[in-house]
Amino acid sequence: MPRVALQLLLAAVFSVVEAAPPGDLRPLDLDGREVAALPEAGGPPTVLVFTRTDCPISNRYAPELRRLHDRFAPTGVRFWLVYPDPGETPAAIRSHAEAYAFGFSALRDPRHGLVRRAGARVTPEVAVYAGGGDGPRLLYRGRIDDRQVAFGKTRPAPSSHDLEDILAALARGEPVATRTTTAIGCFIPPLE
Amino acid sequence: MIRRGAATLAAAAAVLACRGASAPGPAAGAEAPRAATFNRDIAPLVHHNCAPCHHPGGAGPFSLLTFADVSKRAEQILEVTGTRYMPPWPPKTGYADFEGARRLRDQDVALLRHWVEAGAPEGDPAERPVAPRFTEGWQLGPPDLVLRPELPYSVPAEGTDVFHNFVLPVGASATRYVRAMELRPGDKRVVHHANVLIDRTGSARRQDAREPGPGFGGMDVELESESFEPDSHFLFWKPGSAAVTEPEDMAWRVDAGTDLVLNLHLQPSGKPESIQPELGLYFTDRAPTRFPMLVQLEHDGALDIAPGRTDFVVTDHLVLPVDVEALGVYPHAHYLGKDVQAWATLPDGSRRWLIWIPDWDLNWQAVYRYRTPIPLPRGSRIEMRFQYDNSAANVRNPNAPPRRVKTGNRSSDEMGHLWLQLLPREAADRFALQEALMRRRLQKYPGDFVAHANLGAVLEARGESAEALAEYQRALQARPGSAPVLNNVGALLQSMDRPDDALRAYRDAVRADPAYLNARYNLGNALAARSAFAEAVPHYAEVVRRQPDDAGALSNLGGALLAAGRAGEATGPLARAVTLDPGSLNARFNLGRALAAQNRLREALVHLEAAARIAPGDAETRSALEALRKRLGLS
Repeated sequence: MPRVALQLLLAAVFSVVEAAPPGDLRPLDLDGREVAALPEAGGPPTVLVFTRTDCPISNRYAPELRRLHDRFAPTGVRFWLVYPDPGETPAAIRSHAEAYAFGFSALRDPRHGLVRRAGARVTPEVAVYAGGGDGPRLLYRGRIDDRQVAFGKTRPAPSSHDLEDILAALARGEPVATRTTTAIGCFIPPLE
Repeated sequence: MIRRGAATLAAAAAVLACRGASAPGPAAGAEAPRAATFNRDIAPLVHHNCAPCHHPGGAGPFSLLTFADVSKRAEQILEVTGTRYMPPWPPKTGYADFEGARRLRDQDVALLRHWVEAGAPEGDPAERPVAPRFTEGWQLGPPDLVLRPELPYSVPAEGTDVFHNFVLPVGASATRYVRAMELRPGDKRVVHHANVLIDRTGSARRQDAREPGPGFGGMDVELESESFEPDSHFLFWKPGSAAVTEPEDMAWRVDAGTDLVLNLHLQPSGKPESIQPELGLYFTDRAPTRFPMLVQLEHDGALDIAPGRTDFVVTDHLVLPVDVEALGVYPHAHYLGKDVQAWATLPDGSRRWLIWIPDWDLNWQAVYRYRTPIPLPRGSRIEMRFQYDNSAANVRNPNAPPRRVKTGNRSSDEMGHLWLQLLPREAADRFALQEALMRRRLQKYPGDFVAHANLGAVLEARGESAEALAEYQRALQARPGSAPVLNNVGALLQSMDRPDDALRAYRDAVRADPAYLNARYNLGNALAARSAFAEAVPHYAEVVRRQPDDAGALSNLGGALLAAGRAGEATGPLARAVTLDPGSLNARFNLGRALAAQNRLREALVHLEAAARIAPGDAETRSALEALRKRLGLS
């Protein structure tokens, strides 16, 4: 039954992708050092913000991201900007992060370890991890809020504050069920 | 010369600049068996349709020129072209043919899909086309005049879109004709589009003065117009546009004192932006010989949309009294607009589509110029039909929850305007068009001030004085203290040889609005005409106080002072008038006489001789010059 075999094979490949990244796929800081961005067991909740320097949709979220950082960093949440395009240089990233005043540190993810692990497709997209007993556990992946409805179609103000609601629930110590939403933005190009 | 003022409300004038670039070569390979490659198939498509904005320094957020640029974003390109978000071209294909159309054909999108599915191959380097080059600076070379706001404007990092207006004085000392205009917006990624309006009355300046900081806010600008404008143009810029170039015989006019109003749609980018746009003008010596006219369909009075309505419709129409050609169209609605249609029903019953935008998006509003002018014979009925969605399902609805929405120029209000640029055959046909527009307006808004005032101006221009007077009086019933209309009544009565009534009308106008300078000036003239020079002086003086460079008022002030026996006081204003307008016979003549009266004979001679050169046949000048020469012992 070759068909069944093929399906099983695909599933196996898929589960490998979902597994924890091998050590050589760690993100880099802007000085080229590997960084353990995801929380250790018992570590703080962590927000990855996938972005790039030339995506107008993610750039427009800079003030909102800064506001969320300023509100939730004091409750112990860590924020990382994650730049997945290997073509974006540390210098370009540094000046972008400064110009848009995100207020938190930037990482490069040129080998897409974080992109694959979180399943991010576009910028801006966020992934929220909790430092569970077995290592980092994905709580949320998707849009920041629902302002962007489609390409070229935006609400004047969001009606659903997805990221903020999750961080607020964490801050209150409430249990958070894992969920995902579809983010609208600039596609993260696959690695060559 | 009588100075007019008829409170016409003119609104936006704009121009699309997309060149009529022809469609790229057939999207070869869509049906061909061979696999599509970048070099052979995709590059021509992308260079023609995307690169005009997506190039270094362009309005697009990234470049799409090379294989690396495009292959990296292949999936993204497939997505946004598939939904027709890109290239942005909202009009429905087949419902009028526009210059610069950038809508991809279905086979183009299919070609892109084949290419991406085949792994986005680059193809044979020998087939690689040269990437288009884009001029960094002014597209037409250095402009004859560059206007820019004195201070930059700060766009906040976030929030809803900003609509801001800069007033740019042209600073022309005489009438000039503009053959082309180009906008360099500062940051193309922040400036979404721009309209340029011509303000001949300083009304935008007055609005500007009421708000702190450079310029003033508002999505739509209403300007006063002092007389029936002979022509009107779309002066519209959007990213990816080239310069806005007029046909050779359709240049537009700026006069001394004309302001250009730059109406900008700005989008916050995520960081604070400072913009200081530059507007370049290119002049021509050739005065226009063809005079297009902007005609507006609207029914703002009927715009009253209950919350939750998804199918609210506004219509308007106009039956054309003369043959015209339609040159361009500019529909305008805000965020509730959903479906925008305009068409003409010709006398033979056939229908010509003027535009159809099935998914209206304010962000991509534009002026569209017809590739070929659309002939519309007399008797054609032009019609607009705009549909609005004021439900919560309309994600662009600025009000959450939806509320009752009426017309207004805030972005949370609504509008439904369709502007058509029409070219009548004869200059006089414009009056017939304007009359038809105003009579239609009276059907929509009985007793309307603007309609009666404009109708009065049209009838007066056609020499129908009694009818014009009646219309002005109806306008005054609607708005009794309108200084511009009272002033027009004065001018009309003067032309009807009723100087006493004219004087009374001017006095009423000045009483109604002491700051209305046209009436002051005309009242001064009317008083001077009956030799009441001393009484005329303070009215001219008030004009000069407010407009120190008004050569006509300076000259008349000097003339009145001289005639009132105050030659010493007359010299200053007359000398200034001569400096501003060296070719003015009256200023030269009166300055010569004022100087002579003060025994400054040599100086007087210079100006009287200049007056004689300006008007060699003028008997008064000649006799004054002879008398002066005698006194100097020269003859």
